[in-house]
Amino acid sequence: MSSLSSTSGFTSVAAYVPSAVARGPAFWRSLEELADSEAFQGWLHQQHPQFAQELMLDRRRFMKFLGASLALAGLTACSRPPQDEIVPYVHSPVGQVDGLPRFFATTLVRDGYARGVLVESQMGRPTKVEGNPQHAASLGATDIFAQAAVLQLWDPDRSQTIMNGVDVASRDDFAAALQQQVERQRRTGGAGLRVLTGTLTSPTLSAQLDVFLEKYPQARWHVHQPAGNANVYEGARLAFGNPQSTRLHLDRAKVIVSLEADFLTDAAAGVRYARDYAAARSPENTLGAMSRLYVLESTPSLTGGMADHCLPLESERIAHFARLLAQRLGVTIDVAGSPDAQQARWLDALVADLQANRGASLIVIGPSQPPWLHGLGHVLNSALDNNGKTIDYSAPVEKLPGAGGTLIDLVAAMRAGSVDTLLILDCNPAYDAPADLHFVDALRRVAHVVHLGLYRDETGVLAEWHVPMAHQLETWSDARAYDGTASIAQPLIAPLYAGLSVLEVLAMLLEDDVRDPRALVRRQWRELLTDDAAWNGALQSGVIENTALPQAALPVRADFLAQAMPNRPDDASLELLFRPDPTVGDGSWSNNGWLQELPKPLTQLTWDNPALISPHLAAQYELSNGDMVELHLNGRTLHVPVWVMPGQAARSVTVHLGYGRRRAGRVGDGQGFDAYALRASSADWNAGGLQLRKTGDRYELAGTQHHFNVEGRDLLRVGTVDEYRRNPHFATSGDRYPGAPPSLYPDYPPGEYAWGMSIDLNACIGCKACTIACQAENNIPVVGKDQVQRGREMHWIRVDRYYDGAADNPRAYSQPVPCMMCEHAPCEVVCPVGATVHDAEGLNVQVYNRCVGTRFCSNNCPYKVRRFNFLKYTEDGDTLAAQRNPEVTVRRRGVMEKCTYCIQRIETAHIEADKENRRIRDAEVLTACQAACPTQAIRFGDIADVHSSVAQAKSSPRAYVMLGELNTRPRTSYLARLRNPNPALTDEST
Amino acid sequence: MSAVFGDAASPSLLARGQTHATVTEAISAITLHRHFGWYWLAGFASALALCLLLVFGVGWLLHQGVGIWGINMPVAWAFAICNYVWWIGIGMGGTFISGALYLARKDWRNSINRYAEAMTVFAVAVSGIFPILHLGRPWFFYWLFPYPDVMNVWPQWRSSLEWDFFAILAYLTVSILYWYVGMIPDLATLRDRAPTLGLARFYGFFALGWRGEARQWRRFETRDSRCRWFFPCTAWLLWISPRLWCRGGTRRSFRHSSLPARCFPVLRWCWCSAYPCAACSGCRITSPMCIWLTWPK
Repeated sequence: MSSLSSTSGFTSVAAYVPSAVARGPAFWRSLEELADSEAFQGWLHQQHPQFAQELMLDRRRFMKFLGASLALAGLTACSRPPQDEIVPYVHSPVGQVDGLPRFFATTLVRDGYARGVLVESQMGRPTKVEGNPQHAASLGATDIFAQAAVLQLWDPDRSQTIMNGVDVASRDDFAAALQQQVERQRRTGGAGLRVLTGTLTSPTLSAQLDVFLEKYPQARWHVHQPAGNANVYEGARLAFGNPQSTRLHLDRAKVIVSLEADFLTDAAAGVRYARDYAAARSPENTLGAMSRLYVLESTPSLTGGMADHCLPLESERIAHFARLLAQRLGVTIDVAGSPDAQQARWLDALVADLQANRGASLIVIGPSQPPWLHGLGHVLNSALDNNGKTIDYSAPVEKLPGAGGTLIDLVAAMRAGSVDTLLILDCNPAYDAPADLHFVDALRRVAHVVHLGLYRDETGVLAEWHVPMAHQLETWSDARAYDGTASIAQPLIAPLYAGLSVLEVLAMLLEDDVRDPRALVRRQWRELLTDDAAWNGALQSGVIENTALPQAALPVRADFLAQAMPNRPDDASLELLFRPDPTVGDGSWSNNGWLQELPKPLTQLTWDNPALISPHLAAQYELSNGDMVELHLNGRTLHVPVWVMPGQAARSVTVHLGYGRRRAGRVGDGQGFDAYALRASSADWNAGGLQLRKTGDRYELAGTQHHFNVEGRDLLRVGTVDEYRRNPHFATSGDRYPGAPPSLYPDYPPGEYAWGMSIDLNACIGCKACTIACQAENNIPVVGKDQVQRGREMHWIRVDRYYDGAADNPRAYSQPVPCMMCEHAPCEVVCPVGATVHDAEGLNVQVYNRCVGTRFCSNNCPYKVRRFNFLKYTEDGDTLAAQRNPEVTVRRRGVMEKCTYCIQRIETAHIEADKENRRIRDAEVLTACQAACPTQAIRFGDIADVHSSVAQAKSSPRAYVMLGELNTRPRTSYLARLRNPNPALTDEST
Repeated sequence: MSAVFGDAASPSLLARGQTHATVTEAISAITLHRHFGWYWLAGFASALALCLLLVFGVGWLLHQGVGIWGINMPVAWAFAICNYVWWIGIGMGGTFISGALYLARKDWRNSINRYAEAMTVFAVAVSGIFPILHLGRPWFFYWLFPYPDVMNVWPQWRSSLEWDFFAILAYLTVSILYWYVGMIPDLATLRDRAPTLGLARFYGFFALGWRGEARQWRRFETRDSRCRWFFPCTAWLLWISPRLWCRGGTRRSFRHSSLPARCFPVLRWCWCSAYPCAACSGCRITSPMCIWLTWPK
């Protein structure tokens, strides 16, 4: 803050800095800003110089536009009703009220694991996903993938026809061909038959697979999940003798040590864990006795960003640290080498803290760490008396394939020529198999390949048969959550492209009499859901009661620690880390525009996956953001741009999977770089011996970290628990103008309600579920990489990321910024046509019809939360139009838009309240961002009602408003972030 | 050309061998009996080509949207406002020259004034295009005008953009008046000398029945001089647009009046340099004309 204000000449800002903040951190958003380099100043002061490019015209188009100049000048650009023929229902569906949305409980699966959701259906069209409050993995919230699932459903690039090679085929053709294979395989006991799936937890599917293996005793089932939990289960097998699923109880833990575990964004339980974690961090709930989080990680994660102490450490050195820790905690283990000074201090602090919180501490190991370290984690948790308290175990939630069920085994069999029929069900190994397996070559040796997938992707085009898969929202199925709770997935819409589900294909393979997926699921649950009432109850609530797997009390064996464990020498070579991309995962979400354009947490980049390198490495190789490098690993090469990542371990280079797709669809094709090209099956998370060479080329990345820059004002306020105890009002005690300074203009008369929002920065983990939920709810367009580079992204709620501290180990903070809904709004006074006005309930509303697009409102907005349709961003046509929320106007080119506090939801609540002749209840209106937030950081409601949860939040001593000295009187306020550092480590940089 | 009517111009301004009649003849011949040589046609063609480029550019803009200007969210006005300010500055240069020459009672000013005033009118007209084209939806620019609307919507008078709209309109009106009123006696001369009835009627329409009576000259002189006093008024009106930038982050906190300028370096640059630069350019365009016309031959 101070560094920027001093250079920008805005000296008065120091006067507003609260003392607590002024003393400590100077927040920065990027390394350029930290260095305050000339390049950054140049960038800042000239923003984006770009023009032309569109002027590539042939003669015909030239004449067209010449004519258009006259024609368009006269057009008033008003839209007519669609010209399609419409037909009313003859018999209306039961419960359907035309024009009103209905919500159905169902299950969305990510990496095999269930998260319960409620899907909004607008006249039969699924348009929006909300969390299911009754589901253990959701508790009403969602992650970004659940939000984006509805866009995937309507993706026009989805596979739409069954293909036999390059020919379009019918369903009957496929059924006949499969039946032929079945008959052949039946004779041989399935000797050449293989099935490949991703991770699965579905009880129905598991039962089908059991029958499959029974029916075809020679056949095999393989699992391929590019970023799966193999290490986790193998670790549990070491410690307990058989694989176990692990469940964390972060709300009960006082001290949490994460060894590269990014549990807040965990695919299976991240949403739930984030809620539990935030609960243990709320100073109001815990009376200041907040939990403390230590993170050791090689590449920054959101969990590391939330840590009270974070230690960047190469992934391969984390295991060594864990040995040292285990030794200090009294576990018998060999340790080669001794800790360095910093590690020694950490060990002292950790051991003291863990010992003092026996039974209330927790050690979590990330899935990227080797199995024995997971085993050691179980041993340590047991030694600290945490088992059954902060962590417990159950039988595996996933169906595990057993020995010989990996992709490696499959490829070996394919090479040996022993596979003649391969069913690839909902996975894409031609793209995401490790490069050393040469899966595509092996696939050529298989006579009959059937691929079932949402897209005719890299694998689909190679298969003899490609069958479009029914989307999760189109078919029946079931799945288990991280704790084993089963839930049923019911379809919201008939399959758009007559797709088949995995259950249907397996039923065909099994020659099952029952082929209908609903009947298959119903049959699976016939014992628990005996009658229609029970079945309907399970569908309505979205969970099947009492199906959580029971806690298993197993003795921990430490004997495996005596066996030889890889104790890699602490060499000086670089290590390469493979991680699923934060927004497009392992590549299965590549064709999703919302996820592509969602700025990735921490890097704030969109549409790309540069290699992350540490500031140390950047200095050593003279690299800056966007420089191309050549990565060499075991004879394989990848050209990729770099991104200098604050907090990255010095010798670690991270590449994210999921990019460089060749057949993802129009959105995902050709974006980014294919990191699978470097991945080996033996080192699928981390690989040593990386060589790096600067090529001298440059690459344009589309980052948003400087967009809407507010130039170093004190937007973010952070304190420690001690500061909070000493002065609960630390966030505002430095304000020169506390409260609302006098104004020349009269206040607006109070309305029936006074809507306001409070955002708890202490709870916000920066996952950006709010951004994408807002995008889904409010018909916000995707603008593309080129437009993002020009600073034109349209997200109504952005999540700013700040750092403080040194670049090699900074503290990270996230701050969601929606419209502040100022009571004295600077935007309102400058609009010449009155298109942005104040309503009676204090909302600052934008009237799209009236907007002529002067952009003056945005110029005058000190928070830079307004978004402008510079070009025509919303394409009509395609199936994507069906996703749009009919309650929200689709904006045309040339109008300004911004956060509305989900005014359509407020209006719905108004109507409901009016019908019942009552006031709107507290928490009756949930904004889209609030509903999606895993940590409930966002609260919304009537601030005039002192009992409302938002008014209570605003009465917290931590409450402050952004740029309060401008006297804009924002309705959106923040609660300051608190950190809980260990006094023994406070003079550390973290 | 009003010089030919004698009273305003002193005989000393006539070159040797010239009389009022010969001067009138020579000058009106430029309009009435001009032969368009190849150089004129070439010049016209190139000007027309540039004008067509503008038409094409505007068409492309209307088809694609203001996004083609490379603007983005913090820098929302760059191209449009630079052009607007530049052309207004050119116009101010013209107004300044003609007003200053009049107030200094320079009798030889007429031809230069005509030139400067024409420049002002066209420069203001050009500058007025940009605030319209910069709109996201330019076809609705008339919503800034307080016309009786069935929806009862009305412009928002607290916005300085609204006043900017009227400032441009007022400046354009005044410039046109200024230019046109000075032309009336000359239009009458052309009417009287027109070789065809059609042209005579054309010039006659715009001459507003000017007959060169002493009474008309007296009114002409007083009106003309009053028009010149509009100069300070127009200058004041044009300060509306600086207000666009100086209007702070909020209207209530004057100390933050510098906020937008800090947020938009391009705009700050505009304000610091474009206005005076453009005004100087306006003067500079006019001054060679002055020199050429007054150079002793």
